[in-house]
Amino acid sequence: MSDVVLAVNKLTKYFPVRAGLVFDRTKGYVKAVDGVTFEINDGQTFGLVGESGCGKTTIAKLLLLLEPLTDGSILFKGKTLAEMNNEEMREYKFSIQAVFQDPYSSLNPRMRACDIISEPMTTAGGFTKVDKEDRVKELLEVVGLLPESASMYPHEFSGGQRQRVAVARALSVNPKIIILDEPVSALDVSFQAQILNLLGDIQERFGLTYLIISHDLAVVENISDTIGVMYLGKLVESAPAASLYSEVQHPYTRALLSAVPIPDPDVEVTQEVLGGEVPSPLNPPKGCRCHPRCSLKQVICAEQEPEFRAGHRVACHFDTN
Amino acid sequence: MTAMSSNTNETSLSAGTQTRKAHQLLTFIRRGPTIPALIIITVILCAIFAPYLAPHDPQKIDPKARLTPPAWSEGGSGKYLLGTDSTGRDLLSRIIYGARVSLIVAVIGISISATLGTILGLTSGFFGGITDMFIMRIVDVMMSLPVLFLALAFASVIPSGMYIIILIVAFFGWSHYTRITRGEVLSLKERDFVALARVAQASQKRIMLKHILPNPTNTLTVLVTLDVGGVIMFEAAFSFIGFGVQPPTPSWGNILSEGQNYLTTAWWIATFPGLALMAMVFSCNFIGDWLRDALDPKLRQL
Repeated sequence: MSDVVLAVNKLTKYFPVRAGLVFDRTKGYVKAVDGVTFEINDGQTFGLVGESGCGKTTIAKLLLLLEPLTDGSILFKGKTLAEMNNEEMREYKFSIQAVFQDPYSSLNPRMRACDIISEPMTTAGGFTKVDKEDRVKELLEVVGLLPESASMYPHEFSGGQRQRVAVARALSVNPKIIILDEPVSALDVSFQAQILNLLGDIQERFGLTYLIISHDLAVVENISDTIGVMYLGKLVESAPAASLYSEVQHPYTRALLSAVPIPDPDVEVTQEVLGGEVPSPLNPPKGCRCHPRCSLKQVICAEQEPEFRAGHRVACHFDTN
Repeated sequence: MTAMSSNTNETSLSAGTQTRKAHQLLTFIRRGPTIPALIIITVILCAIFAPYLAPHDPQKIDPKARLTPPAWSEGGSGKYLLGTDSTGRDLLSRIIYGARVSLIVAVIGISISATLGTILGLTSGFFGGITDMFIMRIVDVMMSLPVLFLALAFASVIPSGMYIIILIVAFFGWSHYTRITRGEVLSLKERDFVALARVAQASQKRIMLKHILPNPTNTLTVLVTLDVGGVIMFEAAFSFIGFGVQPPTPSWGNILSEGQNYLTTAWWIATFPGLALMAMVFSCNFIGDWLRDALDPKLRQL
């Protein structure tokens, strides 16, 4: 078993909702992420799936320190960020980089590809111009772009090429962890596979750890070692990729999986459709968050919140296997 | 024989090149606002090289040649191409020198107001909160002020001249830049590349200057170009009512103002500076409109 490189413990983020004409009053909180715990082993890929608004991207933002935590902790190499001194904090910041969903928004239209890619090196300091040029050339080759693209502006690239530039940028300071927030969902299906293969190759080559966030189960299934399923700010199930698909336990995961289209017209589809809509994260249901939409619902579900069980971890009162 | 045929060949070839060149020139002229650009360049050159271009001293009085009509009309003289004014000063020279005033006011005034406005807009949009509220309320106040009325009040207290107009342009002009910059910054700072710059540990200063500021420059360039016309107009209006540039220093506005008394007897005095003004303002607006399309990166991709 490899070492845990990144872990989150009871990670919580509430966004205050303010209202009022003259004086803002906090009227409540959107519980975007509510006590999420998971860990990622060195060199492995953790996939986070769930529908829109379940808090996946908020987790990415919390890990990237783009938003302050409400509660809980982030552990990097076994140490919480709160305990770290400036030197260790700096190491963390440059060890974690990201690739975002929309390659049209994630590259500054006014910067050349070489400046975009080498920016983390510029801010880290200690690199000469020649260092950066060499590194940019090397990275462009790694992501499969021509060396000439270094002097091009983002609008001269296609969507897939832009995403390659974004990947090259994330790699430039040799990070340990890359957070991939919906890395392929803005791309054409034909490019999705290319980019996913590229990400796989890069991971192997540089020994990277990935946290991949997606709403697309097929994407996550292919690339992940462990998968976590989120619903309404909580992790409902977390298991090694193989066992999650073969022994689905949580009713929500089951519904999610049955929604994945099977590209074979002869297969009889037995879809489990969840009734109703996702409750508001402003006022999530008591007890198990899934209970209003669950087929296995019992009295206990509305009263008591299920704990995560060990092994193939699932937050449900029933053993559904 | 062969020599001759090759010769004719060459001539027809060069004729073909000529028509092609002419065609290229025509497409070039059609593609951009060539004529407005030429007008603006002419005005700029006039302003810079006024002492060399002007045939006469713009302030030299020639009582014998009072109200001489333009050279081509009856009674005109080749000495004064566009005629003379009521004291016999050469109108062409005065218009050439007048371009100086217009351009100096426009360039200095707009440089100050655009820089100030952009900095305030960037600060306002980027930092938000109290800073934003404070700056935007000042902008609201500035925009609700009656500019001409206050400018008159200003000018009646402080001795009038070119610098007072520059001051007024700078003081009243910045609020548009602030609003536009702020709006763009507000949307830009939520873009993913700004978040990624944060992830790459770029400093606030770097994010502001390298990631955000270069993006609204297109919009600002267009705004500046359109503003030039407006400011030249404002200077003329201000000098026309007698508060701006004081005679005998020529400005398009005060020549116009002097000319209005002679409109029935000497039409040329008010007409030519008026035409110059119109051509310049027109050109600025044309260039501004053209820039708006030319700088749009979405259109540029095509």
